[in-house]
Amino acid sequence: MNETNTESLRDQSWGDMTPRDRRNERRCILILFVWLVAFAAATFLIRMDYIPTGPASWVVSGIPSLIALATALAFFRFLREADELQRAIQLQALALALWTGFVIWPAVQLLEKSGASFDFFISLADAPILGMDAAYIVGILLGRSRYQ
Amino acid sequence: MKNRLKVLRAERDWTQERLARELDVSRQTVNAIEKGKFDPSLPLAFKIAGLFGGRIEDVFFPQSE
Repeated sequence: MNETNTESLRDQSWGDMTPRDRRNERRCILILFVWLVAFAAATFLIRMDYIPTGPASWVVSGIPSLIALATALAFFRFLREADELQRAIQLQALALALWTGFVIWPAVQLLEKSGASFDFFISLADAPILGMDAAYIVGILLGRSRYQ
Repeated sequence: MKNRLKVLRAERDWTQERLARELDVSRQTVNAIEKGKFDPSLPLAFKIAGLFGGRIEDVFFPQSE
């Protein structure tokens, strides 16, 4: 491969994120995926009574939490090492997610107290965390388009 | 805050990617700074000025000027 092609490939790989940010982001997504699998497996095992109640079920319940902790540590590293524009975008997305939770959570509490219930694919109690997840994703997309 | 980053980059015939690599930031960051959509931190502003062999005020200046 000649010098021009190497330069061109290096330019392409830089893009909207630095290679370091992309690597850290990939690490976060990978650990998040492992957590998702572990959480689904733990839920399945406990719901189907494959695990006896007691210490064994505590261990199975604790494994996803340990992986979640690893996800948090990976995300902190991503933020600490992130390019400063990336960090600004993340801050805005996190603020949007926090305030979405702050708006939805009390509303859900009041709705539940008033007797409302919803339990189809998700329950009403899941609404704040799902709302926060959605707000975070919207925040990232808005931030990226804003600084294009 | 306005800046002369695009002019300085053009004088050296550098792409945004090349400048981004020199500064260890993303191309999106260089683009946002050039367009005045994002103000860099003081350390990054010093790094930019140093890269072009000048002072911060040679690259960045207030909107009013």
